[in-house]
Amino acid sequence: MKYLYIGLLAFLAGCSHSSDEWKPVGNMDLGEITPIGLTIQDGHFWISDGDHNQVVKVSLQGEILTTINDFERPMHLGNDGTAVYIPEYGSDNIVKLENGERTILTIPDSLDAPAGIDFYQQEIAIADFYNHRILFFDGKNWNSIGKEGKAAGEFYYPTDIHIGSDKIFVADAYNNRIQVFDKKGSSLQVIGTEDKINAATGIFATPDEIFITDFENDRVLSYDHEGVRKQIFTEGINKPTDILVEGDLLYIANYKGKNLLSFRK
Amino acid sequence: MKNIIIVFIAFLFTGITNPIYGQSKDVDQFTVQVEGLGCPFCAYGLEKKFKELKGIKKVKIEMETGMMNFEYPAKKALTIVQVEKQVEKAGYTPVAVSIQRGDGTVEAVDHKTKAVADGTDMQTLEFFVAGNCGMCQARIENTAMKMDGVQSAVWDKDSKLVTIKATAGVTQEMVEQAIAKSGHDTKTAKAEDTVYKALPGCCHYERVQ
Repeated sequence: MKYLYIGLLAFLAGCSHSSDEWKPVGNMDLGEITPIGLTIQDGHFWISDGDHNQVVKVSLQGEILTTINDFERPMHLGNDGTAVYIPEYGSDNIVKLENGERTILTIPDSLDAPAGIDFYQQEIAIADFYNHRILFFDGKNWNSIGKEGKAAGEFYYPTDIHIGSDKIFVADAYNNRIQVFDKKGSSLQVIGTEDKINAATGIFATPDEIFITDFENDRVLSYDHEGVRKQIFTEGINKPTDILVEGDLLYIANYKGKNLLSFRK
Repeated sequence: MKNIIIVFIAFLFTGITNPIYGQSKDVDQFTVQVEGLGCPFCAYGLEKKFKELKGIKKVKIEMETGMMNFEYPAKKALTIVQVEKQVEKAGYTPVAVSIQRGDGTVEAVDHKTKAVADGTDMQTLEFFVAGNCGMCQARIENTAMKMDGVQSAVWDKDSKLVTIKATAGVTQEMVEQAIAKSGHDTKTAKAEDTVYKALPGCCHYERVQ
């Protein structure tokens, strides 16, 4: 009887572990598009293709709906619910794209190769790649967070950013780690340093998990908010650049694979 | 009439394919093949850095092929050596450069092609070199290939081992010193801190203690 109990407990533990894992459910071929950034707005993917200086609107089923050209190395995209925002690495501008019209987002400071942008209510955060900092608009003022360096709170080429309800998450690319800040710019956590990440390029966070793309190692890693690693994604991953969760699906953009992978728990 | 049409079509065809068609004599056209453009975040930086050069125009990099093209004022007489230094300064590795001068002359260099005379005694060297990415690979291999007597160099990103085929006169110490000078530590030769720090971000490997 005792062994039966142990066996049952082991079985239940196994079940609860596997149900918490993301499993591959789809692979969307993007043809010649080399995706860098990914956002979902109005029920469609928007994908930046840095190599070909274009931004592409794609249905959730993978049909390419619109291709917009003549960007200067578009990077990790963001949206505020009505418009898509495109950081242009080559022009040092953030382009706002709304109903086909392009305008430049006004920022009271100069950027050097903006690589990522995110929005949360009235807040805006920008990863300022060559300036090794984050610019954060708290709804009233713009603040600069961090400087070049290796210590906690410092950056070495930040490439992507995500704003949560009370925290800011940064892909600190060539420090090979995730950094977490409060909204006053204080460093809270450094995550991923034990996992030998090689170029942390894309980031996304949910209330339960933080995801980071590990570009050179062809992996995506997920952590809980305590910084404990939960899952390593390797299947089908080929130079990943961005990641997001929408509903019950997780999407990974593969730069070299030229595709979008989807996962579900 | 048929001959006229053929000549006209030939003229059009020549005009479209001839690289100097429409080229101003005041402008030199440059084509640089760069290795190690695997990481887009750094590779776009090469384009950005070149755009900062005064007078440069039409800078374009094709990521798939590693080909960079640009135009530069002919009166500045930019040389192949200067172009290679600029590419290396940005942390990248030029493997071939060609210049179509405004006056129609062509200059070119290709570091990939290297012949060794038949019957030469060859040896294989294999040793550890620290590095991270495709850009590191290009730099390590190209540094070795520039040495007299080295016929081939292949660095493996996973094992961090470089395999060199070279003539008997080339010693491992010589190759290790050259590679360290380019910014990459080996087990016996260490890169200078200033050179290491000047490497692009994605190349900042864990230093050898």
